[in-house]
Amino acid sequence: MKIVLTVILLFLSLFAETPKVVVINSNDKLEKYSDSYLAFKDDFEGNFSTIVVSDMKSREIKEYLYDEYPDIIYTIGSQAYQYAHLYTPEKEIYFSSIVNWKRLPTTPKTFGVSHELHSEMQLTLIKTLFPEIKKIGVVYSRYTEDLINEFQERGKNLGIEIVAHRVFEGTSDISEFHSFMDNIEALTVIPEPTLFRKESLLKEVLTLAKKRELAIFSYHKLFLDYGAVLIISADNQTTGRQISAMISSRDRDGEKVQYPAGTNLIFNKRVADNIGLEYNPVLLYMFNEIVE
Amino acid sequence: MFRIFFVLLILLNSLFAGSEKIYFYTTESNINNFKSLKISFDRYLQKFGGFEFQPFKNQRTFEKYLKDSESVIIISSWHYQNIAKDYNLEAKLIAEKKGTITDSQVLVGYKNMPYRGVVASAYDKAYSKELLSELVSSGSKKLTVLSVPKEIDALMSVGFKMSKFAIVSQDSFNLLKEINPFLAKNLEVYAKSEPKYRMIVAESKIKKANSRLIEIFKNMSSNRVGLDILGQLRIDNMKPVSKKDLENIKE
Repeated sequence: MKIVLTVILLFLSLFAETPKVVVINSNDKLEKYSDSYLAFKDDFEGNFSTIVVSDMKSREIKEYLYDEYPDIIYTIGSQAYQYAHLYTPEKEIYFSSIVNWKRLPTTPKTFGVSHELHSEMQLTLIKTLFPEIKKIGVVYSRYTEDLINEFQERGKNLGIEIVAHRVFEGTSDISEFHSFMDNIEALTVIPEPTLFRKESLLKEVLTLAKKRELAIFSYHKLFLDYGAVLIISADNQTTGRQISAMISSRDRDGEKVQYPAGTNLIFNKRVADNIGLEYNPVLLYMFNEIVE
Repeated sequence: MFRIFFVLLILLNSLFAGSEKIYFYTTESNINNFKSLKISFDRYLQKFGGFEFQPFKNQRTFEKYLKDSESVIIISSWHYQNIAKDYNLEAKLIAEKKGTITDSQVLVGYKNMPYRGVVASAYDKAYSKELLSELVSSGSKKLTVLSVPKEIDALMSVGFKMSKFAIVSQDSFNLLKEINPFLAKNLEVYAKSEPKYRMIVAESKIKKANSRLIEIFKNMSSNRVGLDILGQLRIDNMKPVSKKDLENIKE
């Protein structure tokens, strides 16, 4: 009896359906998308097929999704997500590489990895690498108020004071930044829409911070040109692997939308030496790139 | 005239002379910046002659280069144990940190978690899987390994709920306790591995490498520049392997 049952189970397992997986890439020419895609491809142990939105017409994407009708869709970039959500919202959809994912329409079957790093993760890395820094300034507006509150709360766990300075559309100018910068040892530049819309003010703020020899931390290597000493960003390859692990583990009890698990660090040693910023030389191995 | 000819000869010689390579690949040390490591090593080794540091990111490529090699290699002890016989390798030096030549790995997670879900690890994936089966034996089947760039990433990914567990060195977990005690206090050690030997400097038993190289590595900790490079490998010193340790590593 036991043998018969085992044979039946074995037979059934041969025909058990493995979920059909499709990856939709918004644009395979973009490095950040292809980094995540290639890492997913290397890591994911099941079969999957791929389409690239930038190479197809809307009608073709619709037909493809209806024909394939996959169980699981991994979308890279917001365009890919929007197509998957439009044509197959009833399916499990995973996303990555989307700035501000909260604006997306979601369903109970939406999973993903946000583009933005956890604020405490950033502060922990700053404290690890520059243990002397205790007061960090951040510029915010009504759009980023929640983020600043979180930074301030999380900073307390690490003994770092977050000094916030609010900017207002149209009225803020550089004169108000002098007293703000008197009270800080470093400046963290976040993607702040009000400040970024007024490019001249952003440049003036960075120039002033540089003149005052403040350590500037940011999220994009573009800021290296403006004297940033540390760039902390999500590691796109890890994000691809993270989606692969979320799908493979079939663990649906965890966070549905997670923060990126891997970080990429660029250290501008030249600037650090110039402004006399103390850093832990033993931890240099942590950086992905060092600007000498 | 003779002088110019002589200088030219030296220049030509240096252009065409094959430099002796030091091959580096380790499953254990999550180094993120090979470029900086190579620059530092090459600059350091230049003082001693035509040596070149060649790090590898991929185990298969590294092993391909090992064939017929007369080079000195730096690898993890786990990897050495797996390939020493096939490549006729002999361990010469072993890494030391804080006075010990071994390190333990720990499986860390929030309290009372079942062995299910994602485990973040900065080690090589195959090595992580082997460690997991050592640490939780049959429980490892329900765990999926997520490779992350750094051990601190692995720990934070548990702390901020991107993974259920992390496998890290005891040293890294201690570092987190120092930096972010608030986060570390919620995490507990589920299992701890047996002490494992740290990374190894080895050479081929058949095609012996330049013996000077072994000496150079042995003396690295005696100067500031050498110490900084060892720091990039997350170690303090390279010391000769004792007979007893050599036997243990072979097991």
